[in-house]
Amino acid sequence: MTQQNKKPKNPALARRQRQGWVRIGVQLVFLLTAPSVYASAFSGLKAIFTAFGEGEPLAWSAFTTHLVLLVVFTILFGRYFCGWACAFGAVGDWIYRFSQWAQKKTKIKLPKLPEKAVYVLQWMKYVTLAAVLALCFLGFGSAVSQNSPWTVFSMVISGNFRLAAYGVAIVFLLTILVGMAVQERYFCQFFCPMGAVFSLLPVLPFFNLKRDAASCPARCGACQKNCPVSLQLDRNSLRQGECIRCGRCSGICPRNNISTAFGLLKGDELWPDLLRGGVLLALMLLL
Amino acid sequence: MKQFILRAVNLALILAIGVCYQQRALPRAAEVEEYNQQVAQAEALAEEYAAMEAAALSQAAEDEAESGYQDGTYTGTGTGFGGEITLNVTVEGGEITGVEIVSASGEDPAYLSQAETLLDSIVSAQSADLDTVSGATFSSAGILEAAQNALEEASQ
Repeated sequence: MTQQNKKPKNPALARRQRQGWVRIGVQLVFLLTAPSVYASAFSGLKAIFTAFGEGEPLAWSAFTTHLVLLVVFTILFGRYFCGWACAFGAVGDWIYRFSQWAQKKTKIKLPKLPEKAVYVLQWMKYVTLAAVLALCFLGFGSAVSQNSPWTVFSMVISGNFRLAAYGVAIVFLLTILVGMAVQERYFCQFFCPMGAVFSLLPVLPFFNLKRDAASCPARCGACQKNCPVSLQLDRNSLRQGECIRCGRCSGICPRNNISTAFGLLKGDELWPDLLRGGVLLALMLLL
Repeated sequence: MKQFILRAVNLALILAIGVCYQQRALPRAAEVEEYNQQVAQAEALAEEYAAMEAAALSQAAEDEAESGYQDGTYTGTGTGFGGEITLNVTVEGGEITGVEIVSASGEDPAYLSQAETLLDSIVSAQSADLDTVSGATFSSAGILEAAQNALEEASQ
């Protein structure tokens, strides 16, 4: 029995790996078809605060459509967008994956952030959000775009390399890329203002991942160790908003203690993820 | 559950603030609009009087300074976000009557649709010397550059 894990084909591992590759595939589709939705949705929010600052009435735009779409989708299904559809998050995931692979090959270990530091840094994104919105309110919205790493990122993604005027933004972006190689979901957890918005939303509990901790082996913690955002699933705290619905905790759990949809699903099935992706992509392209 | 209710109340509050704001901002914007129109009317009237006076004084100055655009459809290109933007500008009776995008394959749809408000602005201002739309600076700049190039052709 103890030899079970050493069999050449471990079905649980194969299932986990398949889920990982499917997520990369979905992220790639979104990167190619809707690469700038995270930024345009945030532009919608910035435009609202710019209007507040100027005393102008709020005007509906394509940006507002994206903002409302993502907010409603997140309230219904959780932060699926972050885990599966955001171009910036996807590139971060790939950099981290590559860095993990390179660390294994070269046997050079990058330092890991202690858990306490992660928890503290996760608050920083609310500071980013407040600062950016305050700057927009005060009429410095264009200065924000000028120095935003997102501007440079979306320029590079669309093959626009006229970057001469974006020195500060390039430095920001490079720093973030290094961070992404060290810590999984570095930017999303610590600095993403859109992530801050999402993690404050009232997400409907239907698709929340639940952990039946009573039947967990003592000191297992595999779910938390494998969580890209270091979440403890059974804690009722503000940090529950961090979950990006990657479903990895469900795949790693040795006792199938994690479930969603009121116990109807395990949480790492492919069809619910593909279905949500399809609906989101269709809405993004139609609206 | 407590978390959910707290967050839901927060969101409802934010939406309520937005609605209240909008209810005050809309009539205010309408007032400003009305005021601007009155100013524009007064200015137009003053200009008319000045022109009449000038005409009465020196009957020679007849040829009113027209826009100087030749009738026709002109194509211009400008650099947008992810490539070239090509526009057609139509001039009829010396006035810009229409601006339409021919191609803008490098632009992101959401950003382009923001910048497209400039097409009407160019017609109403009879010029491409306008400010870019905030949030869609690149696409706006491309449209304005393309329109400028087309208008240069039209004024030759």
